[in-house]
Amino acid sequence: MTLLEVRNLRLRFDTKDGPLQVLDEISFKLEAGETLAMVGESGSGKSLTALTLMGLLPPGAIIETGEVLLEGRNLLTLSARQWRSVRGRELAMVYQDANSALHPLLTVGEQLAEAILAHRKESPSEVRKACASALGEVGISAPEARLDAYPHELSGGMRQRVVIAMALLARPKVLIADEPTTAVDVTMQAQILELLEHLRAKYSMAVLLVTHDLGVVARAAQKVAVVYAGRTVELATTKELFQTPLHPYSVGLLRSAPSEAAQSMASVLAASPSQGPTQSPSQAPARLFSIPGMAPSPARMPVGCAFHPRCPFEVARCSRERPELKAWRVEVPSNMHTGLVTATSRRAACFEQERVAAAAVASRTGWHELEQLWLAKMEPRT
Amino acid sequence: MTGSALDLPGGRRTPATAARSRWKLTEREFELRQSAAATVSGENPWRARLVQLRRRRTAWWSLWLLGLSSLVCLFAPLLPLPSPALIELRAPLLAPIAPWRVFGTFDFQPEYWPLGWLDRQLLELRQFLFGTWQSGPWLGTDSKGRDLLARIVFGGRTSLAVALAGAATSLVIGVSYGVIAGWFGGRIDRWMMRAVDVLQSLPFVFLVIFLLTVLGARSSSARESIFFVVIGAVWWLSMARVVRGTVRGMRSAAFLECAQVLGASQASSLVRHLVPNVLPIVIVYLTLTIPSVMLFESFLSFLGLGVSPPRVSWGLLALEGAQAINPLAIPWWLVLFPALVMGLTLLALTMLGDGLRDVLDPRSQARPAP
Amino acid sequence: MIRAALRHLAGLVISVVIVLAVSFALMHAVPGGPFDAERGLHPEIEANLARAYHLDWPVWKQFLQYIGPFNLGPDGWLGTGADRFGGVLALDFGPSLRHRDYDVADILAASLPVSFQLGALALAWSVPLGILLGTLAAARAGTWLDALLRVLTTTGIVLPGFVIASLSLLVFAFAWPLFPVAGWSSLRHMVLPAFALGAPCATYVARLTRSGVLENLQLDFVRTAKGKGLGRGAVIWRHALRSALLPVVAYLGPASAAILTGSLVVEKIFFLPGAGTHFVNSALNRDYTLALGVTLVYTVLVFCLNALADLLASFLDPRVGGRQES
Ligand SMILES: Nc1ncnc2c1ncn2[C@@H]1O[C@H](COP(=O)(O)OP(=O)(O)O)[C@@H](O)[C@H]1O
Ligand code: SF4
Ligand SMILES: [Mg+2]
Repeated sequence: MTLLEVRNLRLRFDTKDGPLQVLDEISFKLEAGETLAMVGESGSGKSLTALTLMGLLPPGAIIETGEVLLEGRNLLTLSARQWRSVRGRELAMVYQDANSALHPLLTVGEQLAEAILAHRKESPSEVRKACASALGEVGISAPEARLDAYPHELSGGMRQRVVIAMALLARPKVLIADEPTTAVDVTMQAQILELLEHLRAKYSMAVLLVTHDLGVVARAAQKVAVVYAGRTVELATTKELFQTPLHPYSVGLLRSAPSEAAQSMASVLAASPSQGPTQSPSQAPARLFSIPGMAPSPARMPVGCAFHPRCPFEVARCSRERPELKAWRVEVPSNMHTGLVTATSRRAACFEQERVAAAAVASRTGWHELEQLWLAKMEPRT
Repeated sequence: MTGSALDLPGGRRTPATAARSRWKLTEREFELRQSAAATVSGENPWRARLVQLRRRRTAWWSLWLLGLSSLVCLFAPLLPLPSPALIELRAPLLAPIAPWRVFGTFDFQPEYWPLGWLDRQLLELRQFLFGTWQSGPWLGTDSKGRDLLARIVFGGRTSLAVALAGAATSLVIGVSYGVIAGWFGGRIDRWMMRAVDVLQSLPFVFLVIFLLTVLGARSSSARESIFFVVIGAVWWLSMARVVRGTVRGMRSAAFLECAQVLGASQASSLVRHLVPNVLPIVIVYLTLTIPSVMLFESFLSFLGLGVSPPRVSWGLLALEGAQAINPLAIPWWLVLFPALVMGLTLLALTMLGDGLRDVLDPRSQARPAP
Repeated sequence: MIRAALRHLAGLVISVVIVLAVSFALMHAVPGGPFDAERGLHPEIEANLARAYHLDWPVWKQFLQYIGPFNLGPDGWLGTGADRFGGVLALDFGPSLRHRDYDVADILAASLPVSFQLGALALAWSVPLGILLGTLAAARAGTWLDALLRVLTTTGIVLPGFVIASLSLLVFAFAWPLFPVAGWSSLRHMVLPAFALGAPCATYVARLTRSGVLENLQLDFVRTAKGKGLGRGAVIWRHALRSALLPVVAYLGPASAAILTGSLVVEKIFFLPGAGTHFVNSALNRDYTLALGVTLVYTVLVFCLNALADLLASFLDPRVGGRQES
């Protein structure tokens, strides 16, 4: 059975200026023991999705439709009391900003202890021991001494580790990590990702890794859910996505990843020997590409496919109908040169997937044409 | 925040300062909004602010209520009220009589304390218009048979006068101090603000009373004039603080530097940019100063240190009410009505102040709604 | 922390010196003051005054004597023996101008305990209750409880303290005689004054707490706390309230200043033999020495309480004090 499944989650805020549709059908599945990355620009609703899973939505958020199934049980129908036993114990979260996620006036030890005591009674000495070992596990030196420190006495990376340790203390089945690497410096990022991977393996947790960084995806995730404007637009394994993105937005994301990410991508692709020549890092476009146009704000969502104002593959239908996230059986040309075609079942929300896939494969060798296409699309608008 | 004995100067507003420091992040934003408000919006920003204020119902109604009652107080001698000073020992402690039972009588005798020229004219006009007709004891009479309604209205004049005088003094001192400190900055600013800090942590109520003890020794009129000056001189501290903050923000704002680079003289740029930037915040703090000055006046009068009989003030009425109750007679109206009037006025002033702050103080807009 | 304490101390010294100098100058300058020749006091008090203020000395020497803490001898610099200490800094405020045979210090020694008891009692009930009510209002924001508390706090903030005092006297001592009207001999006597004095403080603390807790409930660390599976009670009382208490603690200084101020009217209404009553009477009778004595004591007191509250607040906040790790 799927461990965690999100189905057609729709969420809006009712504000003075009318409703704001911030999530518009988010769907994905997370199997036990795997890492799913949720990728999207900032503002696309990743954090709100994560908070929905935890039942921690800010006041004013209204869930319109959708289900969050944890081992078949719909979390959205839980009572406040039931939620309490789910949070921390079954689902735990590592928050985006470790600075503000910790209480400034409580010591690290006190805050860690709560994570245990919220779920089971234990003697103070046992709790302390458990907390110290959790700190040790996330790579904090001299954990005993750190228990009595206040958050402001720790460095940014350490605080992030404390937050991770706190999430792990009640041994959750699913760990939700909301941009765990955005607030820390580059060397620390790698360490934290490694740590998450290590812990996932050790406790056979499932990890939902929220990020906007494809480098992180390539390094840490087995599956990817691409989110655009509050909507899952593509679901794929990491390899599939990097090889043949089916949604124009995914294509753009891949192209706009900085070269460091491209390197990770290359390594992902290189891991599968059956593939044809891929674009090596040296061939990466020197100029950093970014998808022209701006992410739409929830207040002014385009009709039809939300991506159509920025999409180079747009057809007439795109601005009228909304493509569903469906499993399309597509014939994906996996190798331009050999003409090899594989038929796969992939899920993306786009009417023109086959064209996109073909272009994506073509672009591995000749990105230039695709970029021209994109720029031509934006010309009349700018 | 305003309006209780707690707010008398003597305590620094530590919580408010703490709250402000939490908004430090928005300081830059604050400056930008300020300059934007002053320069970008081409049309009159005051019209927009008026509309905004109107949308805040309680603030708008408070404004009307206060305006109306100020008018009533201002033209009090013109109204057909009984004399507030006439001692009528035949009719002490009359309980309130509803207007539909006794609407009025023809007993008016013009007995007042020495009135000013304008008040004498008003009084003559009143006698011309209404003759000896006066309203009945709608709110009852006090232990000396004086009409409570008339005394409340005339007491309101005192409050109004004190509030305006205090506000004006605090305006002059506070704004000039704040502008000087904020404009020059550096060491001058540091020392000036440190002085404000020290002054703000003095228990002013005690010092003021001590000053009144020493200075107002001889005549009560000397005491009253000292009293006005002292009140104004005390309440400029927070005004100076906010004005200084605004001026500092302005000075560092880019547009002023631009203006200077373009060759505008310091003085002209000061005046041109100062007024639109500082005025809103000054208005807000004036509305917040007025209730606390009124409160302080009534506090002193209640202690017998403020306005002295035969003049009236609300504090004096409250004192008389408190003194009139005894186990044998409980003239509740003498306690209740002055309390109601004072409470309503202070409430309206507080509401108006809050509303004005929302509309005029850019910092409060950056704040999430509570 | 030490720097902050020193800063408070400096402020205290500066203001005490200013108050002393100004009051000395004023008392000299003003007709009818203790140093004025034609004051027409009782001969006994005259004698006391002459003895205390050495009216035959030059003014600067009078000032030094007046400040203290050492008595100046008639010929030499310092006095000797048992009379070594004197002047304001030695807590010798001179003789009262109106109470024959009493020194200001005697009057203060008799009346200050009453005022302190009253003030302490008022703080003791109002601050905890204010915190409790404020937190409850925040926890139940938007419900009838919140609305009721809002009405109460608005009333408490809008009505002046003396109005609250006379209303409570009217209701609970006369109309419905639960408590005695005046006096200070038993706990029952203390209930109404302490209530009237603490009510404004309670309402202010309640408002402060409510807005603090509400604000904190929006913050990320509260979300973290909920995310651990903590119940609503723990989240509010342990997490949201904790950081909302810092401003409340800092407010204790201004609050006690306000309580001292309020005690003037409360003592007057309830006829309590406290320092406030003496102070008001001294102002009415122009008993300068007594008025100055109370003013000085309260100045120092307010400074100390403010400093104490500030230091307590920074002591409770681990972020102050700078144990930053590099
Ligand atoms: N409390 C809120 N009220 C109204 N809109 C909100 C609120 N929180 C978030 N949003 C909106 O929801 C959208 C998604 O936010 P978020 O989930 O934080 O994005 P991400 O984590 O992907 O950067 C944003 O456009 C944001 O403006
Ligand atoms: S549906 Fe149309 S507009 Fe949307 S991504 Fe696909 S091709 Fe582009
Ligand atoms: Mg986010």
